Amino acid sequence: MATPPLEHLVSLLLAPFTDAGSRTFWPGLALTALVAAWFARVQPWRASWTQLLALTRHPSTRLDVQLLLARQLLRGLRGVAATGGAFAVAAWIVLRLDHSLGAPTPLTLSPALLAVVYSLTLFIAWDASRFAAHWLMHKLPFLWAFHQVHHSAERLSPLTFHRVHPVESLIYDLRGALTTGAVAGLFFWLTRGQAEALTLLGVPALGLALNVLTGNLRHSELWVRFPPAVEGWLMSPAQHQLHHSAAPEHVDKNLGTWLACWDRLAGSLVISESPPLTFGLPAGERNHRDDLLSALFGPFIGAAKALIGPRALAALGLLTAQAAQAQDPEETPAEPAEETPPRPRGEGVGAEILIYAEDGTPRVAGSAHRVDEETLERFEYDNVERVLAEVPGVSTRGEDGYGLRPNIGMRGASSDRSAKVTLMEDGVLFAPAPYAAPAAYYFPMSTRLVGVEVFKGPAATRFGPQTVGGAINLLTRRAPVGLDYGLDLAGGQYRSGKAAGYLGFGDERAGLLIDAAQLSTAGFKELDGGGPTGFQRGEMMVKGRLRLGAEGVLELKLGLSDETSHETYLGLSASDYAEDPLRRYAASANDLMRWTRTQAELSWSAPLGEQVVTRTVLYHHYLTRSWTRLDRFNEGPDLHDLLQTDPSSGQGALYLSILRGDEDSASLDDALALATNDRRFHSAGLQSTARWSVGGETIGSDLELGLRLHVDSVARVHTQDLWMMTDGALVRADAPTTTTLDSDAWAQALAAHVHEDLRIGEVHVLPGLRAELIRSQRIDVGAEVLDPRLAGILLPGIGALAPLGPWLDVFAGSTRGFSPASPGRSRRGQARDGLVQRARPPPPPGRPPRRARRLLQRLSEPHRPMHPLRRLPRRRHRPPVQRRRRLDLRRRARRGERAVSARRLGALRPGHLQLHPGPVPDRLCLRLPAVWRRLAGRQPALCPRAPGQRAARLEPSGARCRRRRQLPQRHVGQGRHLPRHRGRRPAAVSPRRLVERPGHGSPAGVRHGHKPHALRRSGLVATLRRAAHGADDDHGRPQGGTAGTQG
Amino acid sequence: MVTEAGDRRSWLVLAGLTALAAFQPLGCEQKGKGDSALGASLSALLESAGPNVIVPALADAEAKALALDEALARLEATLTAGDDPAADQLAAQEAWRAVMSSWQRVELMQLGPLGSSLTALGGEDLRDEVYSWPSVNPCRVDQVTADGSYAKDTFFTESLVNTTGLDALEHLLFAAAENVCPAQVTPNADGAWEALGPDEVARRRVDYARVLTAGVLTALDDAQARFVDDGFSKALALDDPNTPYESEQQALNAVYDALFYLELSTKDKKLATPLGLRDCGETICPDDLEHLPSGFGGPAIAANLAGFRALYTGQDGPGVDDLLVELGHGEVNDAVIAGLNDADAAVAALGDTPLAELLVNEPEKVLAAHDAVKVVTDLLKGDVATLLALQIPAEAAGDND
Repeated sequence: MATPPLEHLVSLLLAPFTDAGSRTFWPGLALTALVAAWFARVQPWRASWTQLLALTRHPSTRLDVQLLLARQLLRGLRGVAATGGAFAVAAWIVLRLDHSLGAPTPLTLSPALLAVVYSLTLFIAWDASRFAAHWLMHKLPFLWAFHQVHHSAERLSPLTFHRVHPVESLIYDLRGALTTGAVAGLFFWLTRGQAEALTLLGVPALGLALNVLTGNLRHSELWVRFPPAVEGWLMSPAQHQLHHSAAPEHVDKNLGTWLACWDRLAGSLVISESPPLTFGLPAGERNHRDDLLSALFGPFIGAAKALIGPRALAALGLLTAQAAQAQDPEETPAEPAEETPPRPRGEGVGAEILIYAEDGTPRVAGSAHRVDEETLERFEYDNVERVLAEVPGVSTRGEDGYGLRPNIGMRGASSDRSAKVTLMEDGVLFAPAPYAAPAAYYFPMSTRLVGVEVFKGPAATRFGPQTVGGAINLLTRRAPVGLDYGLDLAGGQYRSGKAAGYLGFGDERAGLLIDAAQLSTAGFKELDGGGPTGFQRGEMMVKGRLRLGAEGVLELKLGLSDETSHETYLGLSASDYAEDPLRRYAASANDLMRWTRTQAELSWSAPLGEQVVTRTVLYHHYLTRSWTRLDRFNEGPDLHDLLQTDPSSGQGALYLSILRGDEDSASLDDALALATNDRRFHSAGLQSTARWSVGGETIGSDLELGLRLHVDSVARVHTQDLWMMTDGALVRADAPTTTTLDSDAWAQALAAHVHEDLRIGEVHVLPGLRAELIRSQRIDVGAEVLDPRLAGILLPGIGALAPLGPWLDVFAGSTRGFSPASPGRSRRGQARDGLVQRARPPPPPGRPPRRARRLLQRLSEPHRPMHPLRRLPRRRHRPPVQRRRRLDLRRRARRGERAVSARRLGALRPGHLQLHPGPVPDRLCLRLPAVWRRLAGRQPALCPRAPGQRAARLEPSGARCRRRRQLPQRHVGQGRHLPRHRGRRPAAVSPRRLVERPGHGSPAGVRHGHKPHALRRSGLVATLRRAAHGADDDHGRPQGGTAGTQG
Repeated sequence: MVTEAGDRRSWLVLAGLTALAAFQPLGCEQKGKGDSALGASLSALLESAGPNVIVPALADAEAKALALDEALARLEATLTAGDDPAADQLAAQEAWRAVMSSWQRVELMQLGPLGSSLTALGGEDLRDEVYSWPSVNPCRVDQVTADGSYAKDTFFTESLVNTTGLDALEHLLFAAAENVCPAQVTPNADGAWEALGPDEVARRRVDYARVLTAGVLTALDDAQARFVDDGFSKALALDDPNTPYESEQQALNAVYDALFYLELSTKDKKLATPLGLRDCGETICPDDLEHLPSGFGGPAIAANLAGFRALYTGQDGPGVDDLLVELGHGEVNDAVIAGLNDADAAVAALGDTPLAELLVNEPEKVLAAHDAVKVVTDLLKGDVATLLALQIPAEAAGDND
């Protein structure tokens, strides 16, 4: 459908102002107008109505307008798609790479990170290619003949941007096509179409922002500079005005568009000092007049002369010499400091500062909370999630409603299977395999707990390995002195029953405790066709205590636990949930979890002298688990998609009916695949702590040292069976059992910690340090066996606690969090989880590794003052030469003289100024160009130099040298994850893994606002990714279904 | 320096350029936003797919279904009169084959209302209402035959797709007199089937078939109405404000997903699985073949290829082949067409012999057909997908642009 001619013409001519990709997009022009108005007020000699009128009437401006119109009209006649050339280049690259190298495995980066990398690569490539093309325009006479049309402008205005010869436009279009096509093609091949540039209004966001904010100021006569250090990296409008300057010293300078690094490399960078006196070209050099026809055809004549004249050869010789010219070291701006100094003492990073100081809770380097026995008995919590719900900062996510498999998270860390929290019972790790498989499928029954301690932040450095969120220590009853007993019987709905009791007796020398509990319920859900939905769970603990010697106590703890629970992950469709939320589909009838756990711990507590108390524990835990659950249809739709879509027609309705038991499975295609995950966990270790307490009323110290040697392992055998829905019941299909996973993983860990509680009066200072050294391996049957991994990490933490009155404590602390990766995770996964993976060969002997070297350096550096100009008294300590130069600057500013560059002052040259002895912390000082402040009458000040910086930065006084925010290091031991890793697998795994959410702990059909997986599986990009993953013949579905699923 | 004459000439030149540019035909407006280089060809394809490809295919299927209905009416009359129904039975079977052949072309056009509500944007499961393979259940069809629930007015609203559509019709027209249900379920467990007797079973099957044919005709009518009257053809071209597609690229994705049926169903389910190449625990899995009762597997695959060619080439209008040519990669299109031709030849070599027999006696022919189709699908998910998915980011204007 063709547009009306007038409408088309108008849109064509207005495109430079309405197209978001255009330099003269109207918001940019509006911003330029505001800046011009400000200049008119503050610097009337630079911008006034008279000057504006003169500008519009100037012949140069008229030619700007004519060329703008001519270019747009010629583009309209040309009608070439802007992206056509780039597409051809990109397609050629992708197809050639595909055919010669094949499709690579797509990069496993988060979409956000990929978008950032892609956008930055495009930006840098575009800028580099522009510089190269512009450099050629200036160096080759043939091209200069056309480019000088742009440089012949004697007055600059935003419309000068469009003062470009059509041949030059064509050359730049070609440049753009080649560059864009190359980068887009390469990223497409690497990511199989996943990479998308960050755009705003359909154009790259960064380019749009730069164009709008500073683009039009470049072609204007408003002198807007950046600080010299910034101008070394980013082209300021002033620098581009110098590029248009007619002065000989500015010829062929500042050729870059946005980045100044290319000019630095080529030796053509000029830092802006003073505005140029004139713009344009010498009269003798121009090949055209200020009229359109001359501007269009004159360059052709000039180009012809350049081609056949002797000057062409001379220019080539000149070109070679200029390319070898070295960079002027004085032009080199300061290198920003690489090292980030440590935070001076006393300043926090916004860590949790809330602390609950319960009586009996030791002062710890972090937030701590205790739920005592009285609270537990008062509320009779059987569900540990309800116990922990009292504690601030602890989040729990229930699955079954009974707390059978609590998901506990702390301080925002993922709560999936409580894998990010250190879980202990009486100070001993109780997760089935805390290192080899951190997911906690066992949790002690709350009926036999007498206390719960929760440690967050720096407090968690005493415990490990998970220190991201914190640690939870469950306290069980001890063998009493005397006679102690209790019985707790309860009954409730759904045939729920609890029987718990304990009996203990003993004296000072020995004691015995037996604690047992049994919970059962028929379940509150109603299974279609009938059947159990509840659980039975029992635990028994026996503790014995024997005093040996004067003070030593030997304790033995034995435990036996088991569970049988008919719980499922299969949810309901929205309509079925609305009708009966307690319904359970017939397809989940066979879901069953059974596990048995044994526990044995032998501990020895004894004092060493008067001030030291030690406790050593030898422990062994063993857990076997078999978990059968509905996984998927054999060949049907994804369960989650099915429930979320809730179809009432088509095949979807048929599959939903099969889930409900209303329809029979007709073939193996609509058979139900039930996965059985059998696992055996071993966990054993020896740990010892020693606490040394000294001090008096005013000062004291509690030093705790701890050491733990721990080994654990997990053996996984996952199988899958097909079941047919027949008459509302599941019947085993005539299909063999397939093994989907057979693996062994183990881990050996040596952990040590030191924790100090230094008490000075009422104030506590609590530094701590934890070290973990972990060796692990995973062996998958039938797969390549990788060498065991060895990883180590240091986890410091520090806190301070000060009471402010009887009811208020103030706490501040900082800690480094860590969460070890399970054996068998990818290298990227290990890095993201903070596990140090040495991909490089070890450093030569005698030279510590880089990371350790930086840590040592930081620890050994002297204390640095916060700000020299604030800390040092002005008159007494500053060298006289500084004061003189500072007064000189102030006098000049008061006189309203033009801005004097830092270099001209001389006082700021490298080596001429020393603000204070010792290294200077890095600061990010300037917010606005110094010249603006100076000319506004503010006094200039000097910014401290950073290490390695050759020239100090000029900064208006009054503007604070603000501290640069410490950005967390992502790659070592922080426990910080890329956002997509918070509790979830990387997004770039095969679509099948994304589908297996039920195995991850999230019940199907419950998530909200989640895009159906099936829709993500369709489409061109999904096809390309599937092909690249090698899922050529299974369309993203791994053979055997549930490989690698957690659950 | 500029002279008055020079200035006048400049403005005259501009006026001339303005006049030229104002009346330069530039083609259609771009619909939607996107960085694709496909431009006008893509818009033309999306505008043409509905009226030139999908609607004619649906109309053809409807015409064939009407013929089937007439054949069934004659069969019903013969049975009522007590005459030998063999000839009419054969005619009805032949009419079913014609409908099935026509519908197997439409199988490659499952987008929009024809698509699945689970996987396709704007999907309304209309395809399943006509033909729901592999979700077929012959035993359920026999159960419905026995209990006579097909005669209820609410039959279609209460039934699932495995008891309706062309797949159920196939069982009714081609199955043996006995039912296929196990002994322990109805209608065998309660003796209902035996109580009916062969004549009554035959009569009920024809009645049921007529009901199903009426349902197929209704579904085909609905589908055409959705594409024409309700304007899904316009929605596909992003001309409708209620379109489910946010961009032309998304609409192109829907077309591509429809074409991908050739990979997922034709190559994998209909050929690779029965050949034992995937998802088959035995050497061959003939039970997983499509159209087991009628032996129509080979012609069905041939019809799939015809449907693929129709959507790919756009019939008489613009198609994906034109897109590839416009993108400057006509050689990829040539390879696809050549592959299609080879696949047609390989499938034609299967003849009318049921695939179940060929799998046992001449598996190399079936394998050759599979390999020939694989050539096309490899191109589809390789170079074709690359070229159609490749997006070029726009560049913000820099100096001298």
